[in-house]
Amino acid sequence: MNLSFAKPGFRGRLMLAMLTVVVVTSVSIAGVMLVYLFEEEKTRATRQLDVAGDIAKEVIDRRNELLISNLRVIVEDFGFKSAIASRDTPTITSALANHTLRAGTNLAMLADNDGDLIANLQGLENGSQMPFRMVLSAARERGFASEIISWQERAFQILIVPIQGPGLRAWLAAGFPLDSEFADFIGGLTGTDVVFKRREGNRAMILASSLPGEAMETGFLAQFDAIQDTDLVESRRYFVKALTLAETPDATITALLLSDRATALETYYQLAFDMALLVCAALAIAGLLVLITARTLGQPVLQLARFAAAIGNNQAAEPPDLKTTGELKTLGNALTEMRFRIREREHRIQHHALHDDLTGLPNRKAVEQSLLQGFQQRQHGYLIGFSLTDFKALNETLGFGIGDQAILATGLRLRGQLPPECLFGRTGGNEFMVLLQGEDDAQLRKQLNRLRSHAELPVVIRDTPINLQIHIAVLSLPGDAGTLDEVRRRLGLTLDRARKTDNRIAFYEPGGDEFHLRELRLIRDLAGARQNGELFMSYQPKIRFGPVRFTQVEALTRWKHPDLGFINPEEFIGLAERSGQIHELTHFILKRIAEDAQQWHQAGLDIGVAINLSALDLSDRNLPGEVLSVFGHWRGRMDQLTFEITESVLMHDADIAIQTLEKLKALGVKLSVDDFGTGYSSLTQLRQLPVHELKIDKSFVLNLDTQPQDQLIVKSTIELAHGLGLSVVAEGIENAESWHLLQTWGCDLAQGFFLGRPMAAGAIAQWAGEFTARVPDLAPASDLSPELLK
Amino acid sequence: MFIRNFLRRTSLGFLASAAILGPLPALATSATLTFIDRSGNPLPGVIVLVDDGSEPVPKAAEMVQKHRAFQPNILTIAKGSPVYFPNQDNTQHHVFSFSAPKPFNIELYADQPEAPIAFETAGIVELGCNIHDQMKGFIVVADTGRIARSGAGGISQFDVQTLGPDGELHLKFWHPRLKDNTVALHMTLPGPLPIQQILTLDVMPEAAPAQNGLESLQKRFREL
Repeated sequence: MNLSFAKPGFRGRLMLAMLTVVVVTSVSIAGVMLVYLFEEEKTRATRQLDVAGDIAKEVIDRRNELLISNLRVIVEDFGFKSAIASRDTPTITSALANHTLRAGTNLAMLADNDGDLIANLQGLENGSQMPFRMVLSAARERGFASEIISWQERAFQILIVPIQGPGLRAWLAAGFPLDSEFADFIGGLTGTDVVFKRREGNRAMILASSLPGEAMETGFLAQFDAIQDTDLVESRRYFVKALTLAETPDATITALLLSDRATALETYYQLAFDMALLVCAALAIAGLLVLITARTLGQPVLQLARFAAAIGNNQAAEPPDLKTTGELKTLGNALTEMRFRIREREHRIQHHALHDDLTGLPNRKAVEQSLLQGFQQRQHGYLIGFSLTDFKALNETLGFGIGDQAILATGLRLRGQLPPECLFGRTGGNEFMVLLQGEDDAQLRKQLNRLRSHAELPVVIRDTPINLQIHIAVLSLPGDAGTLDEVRRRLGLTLDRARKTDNRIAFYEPGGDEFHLRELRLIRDLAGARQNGELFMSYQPKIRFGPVRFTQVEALTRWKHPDLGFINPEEFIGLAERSGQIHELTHFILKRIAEDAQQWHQAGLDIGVAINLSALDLSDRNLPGEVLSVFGHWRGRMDQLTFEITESVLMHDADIAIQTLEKLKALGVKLSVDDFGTGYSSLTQLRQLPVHELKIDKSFVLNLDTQPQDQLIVKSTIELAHGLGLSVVAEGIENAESWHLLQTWGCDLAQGFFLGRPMAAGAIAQWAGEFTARVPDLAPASDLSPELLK
Repeated sequence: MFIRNFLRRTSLGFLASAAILGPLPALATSATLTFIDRSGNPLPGVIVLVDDGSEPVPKAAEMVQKHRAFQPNILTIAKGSPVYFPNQDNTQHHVFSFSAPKPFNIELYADQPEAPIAFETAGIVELGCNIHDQMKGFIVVADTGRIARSGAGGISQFDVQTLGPDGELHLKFWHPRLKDNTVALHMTLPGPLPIQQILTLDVMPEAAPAQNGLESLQKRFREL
């Protein structure tokens, strides 16, 4: 028994399953968590940047307002206005520098009502147009203006407020740069990094940033080029949102709000790493658990498997001492229980195999086993067979229940009378056998008589007293039989014989079964005989009395066996009937006769044929059809065909036989009762048969000339037949006296050696010629003694 | 259309549409100008300084401060006239002007300042009080003797002594609600006399009822 696991066994599969579960679960959780974290980070960044954007806008607006207010205070200042009204440029310029410093800027310009510069701190030429025309226009409309513009490659928040006094109309422009300081300020408030970007056509540049210098490497901006205000852009390091601060046809100024991902990603990677560690740890623990579990589960399973294998091989094995509980324990118990049950069942089966159900006695097999042993050791002793006589009739009349009871009673009685050590068994339906020691025939006979008398005591079954008979056969071993086959055959023959003897006890007589063997051989050879020409037809003429004429032949079947010589037709026909070959045989005969008849007709002989049918032929419903097909081309009249049947046809299946006969009769053929006078049939039965002819058995005719009793019987039979409207055939005519007697009595047809012996088909024509010459001698004679004519 | 574009190009700051009016009776030596605003309403109070060669005659004038306002609100004087600024309120005033023709500054005073201010340069002088923001006044300093003012119907009719050498009439006009009211606007009308013209001025809408200056300032502070 090989219990190693070639494919992944229980342990392997358990391991695989558990590890799979652990891996799938861990990876799923980790995956979901990481995805969730990632999304969360993004969401957080989006929210942060949205808030940052709002804050940035708010900060810029607030600063605007503050700056505007500051500027308004400045322009309300009387001294400032006075300075401007002085029209003295150095005075105005110094006042401008002084006052705008209060507002915290050094980008300051004064323009007159037409927008021409009066003074500035930027070194521009006074009298020229002030930059920021668009802002100025806005200021003219709204009273003030504040816009972020790009100027001299920098971004400024430019504010313009009017300066108004009696007779004074001028504009003050002040600029506040979007510088790193401001970026830091917004960044500090929003928690993001801020980059101010200026784009002019395809050229983009960073104006200021809250990022440290090294972050501002070349190409840093490129990754954010496509950003629109509403976008959230995700780069490797940043989430970015853009705010457009100013947009003119020339240039666009954008504030990029950067949310640094480094921290979030670091957390993310750390978490992923932790997860991986956790998964590994879980795998290790799961593996360990599997090993332990597989060990605790697998060990008992292996033990149980070995135990089961031992049970299967019918080896002695103790149930394993299992340390587990639960299902495996139950399985172990079940296997232990199974082992007992199997043993019990084996015993029962063994018992059944060798014992009879009804009586509990050893059966045929047991007896035969014992016999075989005896043959081998050439033991001396007697084999005695007992059989309940007419058991079949008992079953049929009283029922099988009572039959069984009778068998049981007989078996027990015999067993009780036999020595306990001897083997007594029921070897068949109504058959028992016993093996007895000893060699004294005379003593045995006494013992058997005693046994029989005891067994035949009336037995009361269900309040019915029943008389049982048994017959007994004895074989003397080892002389009478050396094989089981011989035992069966010879015991059967001897029982048959015993049944017919007076004391119903028979000893086997050597040679008793040779006849049986001969029959077996004949049955075996019969089929071949048809083909190899051993079977052939012989025909005996039938002569009409008045006028004397050759009218018919009786077809007789002959079998010349190469070893056994001529076989009696009665014997082989009977064997054919018993071995189921009769239909084939009949068919063979009919065809052969039809062929022979063809020859005769061609030779100009107008004769009919009489054919013998057996009882079994008549139980064949197809026979009339077969006759018709074989003799369909028959040249003669159908009434020239005669089928001879014996009275015994009515012994079995009388109805079917009569139906068949009626059909044959309907074909127009004649039917004849053969061997009339020897059977047991009554006249009543004779009346039932649809026949035309009686054939008086030759035993009445052979010595007709000398036996007055026979003469009386034959004469009466002829009269009786004629009275019934039947014609009469006499067979076995051996001499002229008999011929003439029959002629005188009005017998219709004659057959016998006196007239013609059976002959081959080819000899008929010649015989017919010779017979013509004899006809005159056969004519009715007038010199017969008158007493015989009565 | 042409005229509007022309006027805009000449940066006059107003829109004028001219037409000869038939039925109005006119003297042979006079010009009749009718001022309307962009809605077509007559515009009274337009001061017209006709440059017809008549000499300005200086004459002392007074710009009184009463009820925290300048009276008259608009004072028209000939070039070279001294103007007195009597303070008739019970508060002091600090009257000043940043206007180019005559910036001046009379520090806080009551009653009559020590000396009148002489306006030697023609032009528009806008007045204010440094401690009363709502006080606004104008002194129109004319360099001609012929000064006219449109009446209730926006009509200003005046005699013209001579046309310019090119046969056109040169004149300046001013209104406090002009967008730039710091200067008078020049105009040349084609002769010959009599001249009749309808002029449409692009003026600011009339100011809302005078707000208390103090409140305005306070409001501004609150907004800070």
